[in-house]
Amino acid sequence: MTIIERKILIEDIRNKIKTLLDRTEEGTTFSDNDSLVISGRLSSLQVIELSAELENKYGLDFNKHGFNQYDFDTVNSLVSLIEKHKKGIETQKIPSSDNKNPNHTKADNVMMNIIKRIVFILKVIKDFYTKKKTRNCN
Amino acid sequence: MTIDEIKNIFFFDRQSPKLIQFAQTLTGKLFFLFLFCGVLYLYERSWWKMRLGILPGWWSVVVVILIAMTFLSKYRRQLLFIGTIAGLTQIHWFDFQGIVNLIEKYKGMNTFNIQLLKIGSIISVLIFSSFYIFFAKKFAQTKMMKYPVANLIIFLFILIFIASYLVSGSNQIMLWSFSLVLSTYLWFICYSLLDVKSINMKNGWEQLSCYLPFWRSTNTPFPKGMNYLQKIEAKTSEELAISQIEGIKLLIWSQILFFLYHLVKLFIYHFNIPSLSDAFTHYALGQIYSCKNAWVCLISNFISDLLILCVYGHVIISVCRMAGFNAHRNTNKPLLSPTIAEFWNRYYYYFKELLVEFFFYPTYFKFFKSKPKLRIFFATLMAVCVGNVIYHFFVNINYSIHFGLFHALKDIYIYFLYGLILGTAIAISQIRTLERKRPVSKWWRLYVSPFVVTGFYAMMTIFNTPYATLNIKVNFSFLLSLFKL
Repeated sequence: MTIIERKILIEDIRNKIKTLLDRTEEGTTFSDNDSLVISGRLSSLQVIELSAELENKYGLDFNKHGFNQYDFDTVNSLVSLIEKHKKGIETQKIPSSDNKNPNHTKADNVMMNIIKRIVFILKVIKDFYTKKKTRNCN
Repeated sequence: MTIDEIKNIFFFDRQSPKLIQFAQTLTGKLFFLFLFCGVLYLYERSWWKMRLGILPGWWSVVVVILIAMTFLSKYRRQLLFIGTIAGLTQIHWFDFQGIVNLIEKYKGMNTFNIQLLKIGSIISVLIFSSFYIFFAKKFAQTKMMKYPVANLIIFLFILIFIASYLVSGSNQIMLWSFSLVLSTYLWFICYSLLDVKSINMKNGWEQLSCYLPFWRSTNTPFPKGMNYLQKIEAKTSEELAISQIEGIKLLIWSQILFFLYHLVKLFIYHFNIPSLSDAFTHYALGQIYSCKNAWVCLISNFISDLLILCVYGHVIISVCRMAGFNAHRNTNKPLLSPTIAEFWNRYYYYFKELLVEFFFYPTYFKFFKSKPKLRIFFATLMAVCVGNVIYHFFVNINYSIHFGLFHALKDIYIYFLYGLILGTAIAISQIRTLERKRPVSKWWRLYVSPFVVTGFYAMMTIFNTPYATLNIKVNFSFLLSLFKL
């Protein structure tokens, strides 16, 4: 994630939290390290609302990765949660030079290449013999 | 010193830098400790001859541990562990009345030493929970341990089933004793399981130190588990000073509420107003109250219950804050709640958190992802109805000891109905809150909601008494008499 992308992300989260706090009497001023959940400024319903927005916007899957409401405690902890998630996706997406299946690891790809080359050589040998047989028949 | 500064100090304003500075000095620490322990002592030597049920032994444990924690804050976790062990000897955490009755039922077993049984059960439950947490951590990736909390609850139900129907004699007594202690520790263990990934097994004893902590608790862990305690723990002397100032403020406020509670109780005694369970007995015998009497009975009991919950929660949290853990208040201005959902959030915070963390979140993230309203509705119902009933079933385990598992499950149906109505109301309130873009108007919040929202919860108390009545007709006839029906 670039610095600009990070800044945009932080701003986005700040705005979302501000909108949530706007609806309460808790006041809308907070810093990136201020506790929001533990201090009780954000209720569990607001945490749910925020989590639903993050699920939709950043594709987070809390059922798969587990949900911890303390990840929502500060703006910084939320940013690191999303960054972690994005990193996870990127490492899955990074293709090695001859990678076709993103689920395969590097070792898997080396093995696949070796197998492919062996199959290719076997094919060439097979072709060579079939051609030889037809010549002999003729 | 300006007038404002004096005012800030007098009202223990945590924003006052001079007060915080003073609280960090030796004189300040001694002064605050003396003040806190003195106010806490008033609960034992109450001048209006009514007590909160605080034991003198507990008070001495609190004083010793708080003094040690204030001056040796480096060893706070170790002191918490010692305090919890000391608390176990002083506080009656476990209601063994059901076991005592069971022993009496078996002739020839009167020699059963109840104290020994209790200690044996506590030790075996703590050993069991340590092993269970260890396995939950080690096999976290396996299917078996994917839902460790649910597994533990099912395990306890199986134990109760076996104790109810499959064993007898001394085996039955020991199994019931183990189940009773496990049911008291249940939600404390569950909080450890929730944070199982972050638990360092070398410091496993730290987890045990917040099981039935020395600042007291109910079956609901006050304030949650070790993970939460680590987050709210005072790391500097300034944070400790702020936490202690907040603790003293809360304790003094609890004394004021305690005074109000006694005024309400005096009113109740003076006008001979029956408790709700007495009223149900009268209704069951065919003695129906007039509309006015039914309302007076309902409101006075609701207010006294609310006040005592506030006092009890405030005392616990104030001791916790004094120990250096700046925990959230358990009850926080519930009468000013603008919505039903908000009242639930403010009324009994740690119980609500328990239901949210063990029932609401897991359901919410698993089901109906594409249907947001249904998702919230279903998860709320699972928490407020199912979770609530499971919690109260284990709290009233003595009823199961007396009547057996299936009978106890059958008789809790009125409370299940209560959970269903309350859950539906909270879910609707939550959905409406999410759809609302602006805050509730001040006029509504101050003049309408206290009557509408509080009135709703007051009426719900008619059904909020597990096992108080076994016939729902009694509850409904009380409800109808409120409206002259």
